[in-house]
Amino acid sequence: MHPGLAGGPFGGAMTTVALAGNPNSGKTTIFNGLTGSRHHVGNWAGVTVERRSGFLELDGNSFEVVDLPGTYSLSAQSEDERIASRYLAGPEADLIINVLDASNLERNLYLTTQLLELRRPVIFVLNMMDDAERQGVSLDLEALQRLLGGPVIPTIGNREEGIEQLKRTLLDVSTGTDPRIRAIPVGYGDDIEKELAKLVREIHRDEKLAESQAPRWLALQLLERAPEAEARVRESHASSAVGRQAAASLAFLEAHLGADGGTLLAEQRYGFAHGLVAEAVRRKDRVRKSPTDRLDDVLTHRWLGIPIFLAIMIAVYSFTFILGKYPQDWIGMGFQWLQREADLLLPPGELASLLVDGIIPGVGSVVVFVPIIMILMGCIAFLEDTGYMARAAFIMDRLMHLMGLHGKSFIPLVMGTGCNVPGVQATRTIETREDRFITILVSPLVSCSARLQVYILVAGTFFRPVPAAVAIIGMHFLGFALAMIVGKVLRLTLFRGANNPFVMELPPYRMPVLKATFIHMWEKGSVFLSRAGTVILAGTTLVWFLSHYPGITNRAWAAEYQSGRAALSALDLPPAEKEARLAELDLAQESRLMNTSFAARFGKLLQPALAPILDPDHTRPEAWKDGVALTAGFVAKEIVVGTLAVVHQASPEAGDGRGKAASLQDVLRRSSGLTPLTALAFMVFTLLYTPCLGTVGMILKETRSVPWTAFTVVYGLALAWGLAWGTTFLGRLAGFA
Amino acid sequence: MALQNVILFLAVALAAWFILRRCLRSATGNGCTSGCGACRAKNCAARRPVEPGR
Repeated sequence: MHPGLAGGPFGGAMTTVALAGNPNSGKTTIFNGLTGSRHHVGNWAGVTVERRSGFLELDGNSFEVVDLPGTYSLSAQSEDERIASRYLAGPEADLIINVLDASNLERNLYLTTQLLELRRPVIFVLNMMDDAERQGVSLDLEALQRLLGGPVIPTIGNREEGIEQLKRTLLDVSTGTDPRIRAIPVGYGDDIEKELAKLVREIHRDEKLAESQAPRWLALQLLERAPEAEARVRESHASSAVGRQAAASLAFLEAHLGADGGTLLAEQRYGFAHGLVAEAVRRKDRVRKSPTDRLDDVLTHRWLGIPIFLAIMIAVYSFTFILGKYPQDWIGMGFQWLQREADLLLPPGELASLLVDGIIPGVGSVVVFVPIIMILMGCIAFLEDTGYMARAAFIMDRLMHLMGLHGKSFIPLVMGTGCNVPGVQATRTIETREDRFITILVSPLVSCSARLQVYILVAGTFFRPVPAAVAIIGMHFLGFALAMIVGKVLRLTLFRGANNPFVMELPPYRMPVLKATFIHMWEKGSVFLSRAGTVILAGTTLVWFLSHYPGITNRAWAAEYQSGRAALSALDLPPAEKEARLAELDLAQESRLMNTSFAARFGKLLQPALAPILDPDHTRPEAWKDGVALTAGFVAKEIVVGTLAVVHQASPEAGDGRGKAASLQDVLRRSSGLTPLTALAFMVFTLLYTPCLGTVGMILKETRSVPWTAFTVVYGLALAWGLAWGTTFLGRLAGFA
Repeated sequence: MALQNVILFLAVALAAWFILRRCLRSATGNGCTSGCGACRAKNCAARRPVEPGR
């Protein structure tokens, strides 16, 4: 049997082979070569207008070869094209020979993307190889074979070159002995795939309907509003459910993606074809290119691609920092007002401290970054909609080819940049255990959006906008680079085996719809806000508890503090000075509580382990706070920011640098003792250390292996320590503080 | 004062329970702890259909 495909080896007396291809791709020449017939051939489209059969005997196996009219697509409208599509989608053909014009591969591949959906074994014949060579086109047959999931046979039909090889391949495929045959799915993007899944589910309600055609193919046709598919559904007893779902899916896609189903599917198919050509076809000569091709020549250039990508990302992050500063300050002012009001309104005590020193600064320190995250996500959604991010993924994928992490591993890693948990889940689509485990084990190295908040805080505190942008992008690249290196090491040691190929789709460039960009921004922002209201709120409450107890219950200290405040209030001082001295007193009391707290005791235990990285000169009395924040980040990485705000007794908004009126960024810059170098090491450590608990749980669930889960945690920690220490060590060697 | 202490106790206990539940969910793999928001757009990787043969 061929994995994931219907049919083969074919037990019947006769194997039926359908010849499919674009008009004028030379199907009839191949048909004549295979069957010994002498049908009329001509160098124009539409020579074959009805199907015809010929017969072939190979080592005692009989084949009926069916020559079909040429068609550019299975959704074609003319009668002769409809003959081809009806036959191919029906149950008669056991396997398909897809004849492609090698000199014009990209256009021919559109039909191929549809043939791949029929879930039948396909042999790909690259005909007119002589024309291709004359035009300076060179084809990587090996790559095409892997990417298309079937044997690729080069032929020159009119000279009968390659026909014998084709016959041998036909025999191997029909007997199920050709290892190159695999199911290759064409991905249509998350939104369309989701609607397809719903439609497939409805189609399965009627077994007869589901058996009449591959359900996914039927669902695709319904999204294209193909009349034949609609008629087929109308005859089904599940017609109302399927019809309702089809209408709902089309309405959803049109509203969200701004085009009808047919256009959207066509775009994805062209994207697949374009990506495949970019992988496997090289042109030596100058031919007239489309604007997309001309842009791609530059943007996906072997050497220029990455620098351009870097420059665009640096521009995006710098713009984000500069523009985001304003709403960040406004929100900070709001939280500062809230903190001040809560301090005034609530009677002094533990509950007031929970709000004023715990929840408000903790949650506020995260919420102030929401505008920055929204602007960043808006920029990235904008780039995504133009089609550029697909190119960026293509460039990165090409890099990953070199490192043994290829194809389907890439999509989970890209998903991991949002959150590692769905990234690990997405490895379910990877076929082999080796590929899947490698991808799962390296997934946590990819920087997620929770860690992004820590970078934004730390880089925004210690670097100016452009160096901060470089540092943050550097973290993302470091994550990917390490994923590739660790992947390669795992491939060479623990998980040997060949990796599976995958086509990166390159959709055409287009103007983004601003509404979609804003929707994406809002979605991201609301996710962050809901995290602030749940896990960060709970996290900062606990951190407040751990960083204020048992000292806060010490009545002697409380009395001393209250009498100090009363004495200071009674002094005849200018209001500004009095306020400042009161704030200093508050801060001294907070520090006293903090330094004797459970959190401090725990942080001081960790301090020696982190000192070579974050406190190499042993000059930071507050270094224990880093360990507390990083440990809290084990629950969820975004808690690191809230924890830093609580343990550093910060306010969400900048003040004069004294007392509680100092923002977290001010406190970190002025009194945490961190330097730009140790701050960078902190970012490196945050990137790599133990994945968050959610990711660890998901790794355990997906690998079903405690040892492999433990391995991920341990190697992450070791790598984090080693590289963060390396950052500090090399930085100091280079003369940085 | 007593009411304040009750509220404080409840807040800390609730937070501890929330974090503990999250830790248990993570450890047992029951339920999602991602917070990536994909489920809001009904776009979660875990819901992705598995193609036959994969």
